[in-house]
Amino acid sequence: MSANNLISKIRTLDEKNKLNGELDLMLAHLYENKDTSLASVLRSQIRAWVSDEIVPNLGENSDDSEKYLKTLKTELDKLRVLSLKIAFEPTETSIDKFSSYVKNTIADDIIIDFEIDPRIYGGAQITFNGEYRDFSLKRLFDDEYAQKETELKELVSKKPQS
Amino acid sequence: MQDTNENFKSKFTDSPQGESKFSYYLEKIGEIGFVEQNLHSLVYVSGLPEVHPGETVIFERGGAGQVFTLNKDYVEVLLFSNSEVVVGTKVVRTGETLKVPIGKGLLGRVINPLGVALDDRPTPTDVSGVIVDKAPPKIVERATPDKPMETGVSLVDVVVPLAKGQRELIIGDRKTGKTEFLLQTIISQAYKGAICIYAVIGQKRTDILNLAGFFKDEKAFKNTIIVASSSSEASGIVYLTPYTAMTIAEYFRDLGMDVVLILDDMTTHARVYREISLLGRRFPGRSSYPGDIFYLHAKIVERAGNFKKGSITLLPVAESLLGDLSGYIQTNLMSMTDGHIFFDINLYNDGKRPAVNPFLSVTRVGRQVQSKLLKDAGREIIGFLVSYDRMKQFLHFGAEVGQSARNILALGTKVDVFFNQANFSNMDVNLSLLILSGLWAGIWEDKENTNLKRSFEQIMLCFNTDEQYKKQVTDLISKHQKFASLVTYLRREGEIIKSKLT
Repeated sequence: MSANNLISKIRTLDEKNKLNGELDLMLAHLYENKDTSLASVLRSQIRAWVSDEIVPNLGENSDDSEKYLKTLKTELDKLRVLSLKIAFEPTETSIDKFSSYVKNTIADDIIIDFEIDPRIYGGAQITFNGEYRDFSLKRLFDDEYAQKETELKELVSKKPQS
Repeated sequence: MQDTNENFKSKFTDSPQGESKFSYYLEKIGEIGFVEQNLHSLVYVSGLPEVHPGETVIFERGGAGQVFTLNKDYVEVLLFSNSEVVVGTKVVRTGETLKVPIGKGLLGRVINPLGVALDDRPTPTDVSGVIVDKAPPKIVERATPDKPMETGVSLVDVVVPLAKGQRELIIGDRKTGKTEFLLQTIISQAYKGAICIYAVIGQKRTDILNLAGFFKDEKAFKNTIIVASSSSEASGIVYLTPYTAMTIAEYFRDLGMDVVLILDDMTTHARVYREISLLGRRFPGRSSYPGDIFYLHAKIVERAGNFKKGSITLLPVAESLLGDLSGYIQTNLMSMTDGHIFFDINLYNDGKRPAVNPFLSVTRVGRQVQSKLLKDAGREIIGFLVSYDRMKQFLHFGAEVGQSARNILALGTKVDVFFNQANFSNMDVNLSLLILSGLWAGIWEDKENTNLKRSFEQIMLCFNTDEQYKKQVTDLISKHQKFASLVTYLRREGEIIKSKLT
């Protein structure tokens, strides 16, 4: 249940990679003591909200903790990635909006990989499960230009009347 | 020779509309993949959910490949260019199985296996795309071989004859004259109107250039096509070479023409495929070759043959090591062909040209299309060569020999002189029969071996330049069914030969 709580809070690929790194760090320090012990790492190097989610579920001994952390990693690897190329840097609010829309509408195990490319002007290019769809403004402009190209060239090449 | 990478890039990056082909196919198919791992000739691509085996894919930064295998998580793509494909590169499907341009516009051209021009001329026109990997034709489309295929080399045409539609392996050590023999065959057949296709598989670029230059000089080029891949090209390109050459041969066969196809050489092709398979983590078999190496070659060889419309005579080349015919690839090729011509390094070192060993060479089809006279002559000559060889072995003991043995030895040295043929001197089979019959009839009995070659050349010159003499010889040959009867005739009436000797 708690694993699901933690995983459900992951919205983007960057967040997933960061959590993965933190889990690897915890696993590396699991069997150490004193200054480099797991408790010390949880206090000083792991984000507070992650630490708050993980600590209550760590087992009584290191073996149980290891099992729990590895389960978290497995669950994290199962998340599917939807690549979204947009023309602007999304705010936290935008990220929340995108993520909750995807999780509610499509599936709750999907996270978003944002790519910023101002050259598409607006809209988005979406890649998911090997499928690609282009809903960008660039495509609309290119299609429009392809239709009006001849007309535009004639207009530009007209000599001014003396 | 134009840079194949540049030609290749333009083929796969520029569409007729001027936009990038990558964008075009991305829009059209709507599927994308990403390179996850690069293994030099192979890349593993994730995504592309509906890609099928053999489909062509294009990379974002230029270059293309062919889908080799489908795994649960990845698609294995065989690269067609040496350009760096980095991890993360986007890949797009084209929706098409690999096609190469085929047509009459290829005659007289040098191309790579993707149809890109390698000579300094524009891309061939009058061509259309045809799928490269096809199943061999079924049995109902085939016909029994019924026409001989003359190579212009007297030893082969008489002792190891070939037929149109035959698959004959050319095997021997390196530098034993195999390529010279093949070029001789091409010249002989090109002048007779056959289409000749020479597939150069993974050889040096200088050799490819020399080959192209040779054909231009010989003026046989208008009936010849060279499909070449050099050793510096991507493994995918080298792997594809014989398939493209066979597809081109099938096009001309379907037009009702006779085609001679040379694949030089299949041992290099096997090595390249081994490299690709080991990179793709296929389980290695004997000599680290993959288990399907036999199938790889058999599916090319089986596409040749004699058909109801046209024929494809296939001459695959295999390189042996120190005369060892029991190698894996060599024995594979020997079992799937209709015979083999063995170029012996010992004969080559003794100065024999061509260095064909008639005792270790086999033809399973050629004899059934020979005329009765030629069949009889071949049998007689092979029997004689066996006796001659035994006699020479006997002499090593320093024993004294009787008159009959001395006669065999004398005739044998004359036959050796006759079969020692200069490179690219075309010997018509009727002329070969005439001279051999003359030798048996004793016309040159008193001639020194040093003058013998010259007198053979005199007759050959008359035959090639004097149409009337040629007709005379042809009529004489056609009148006789048995070698012995021709010999008897020449013993009585040898003027047809003697009149041309000075």
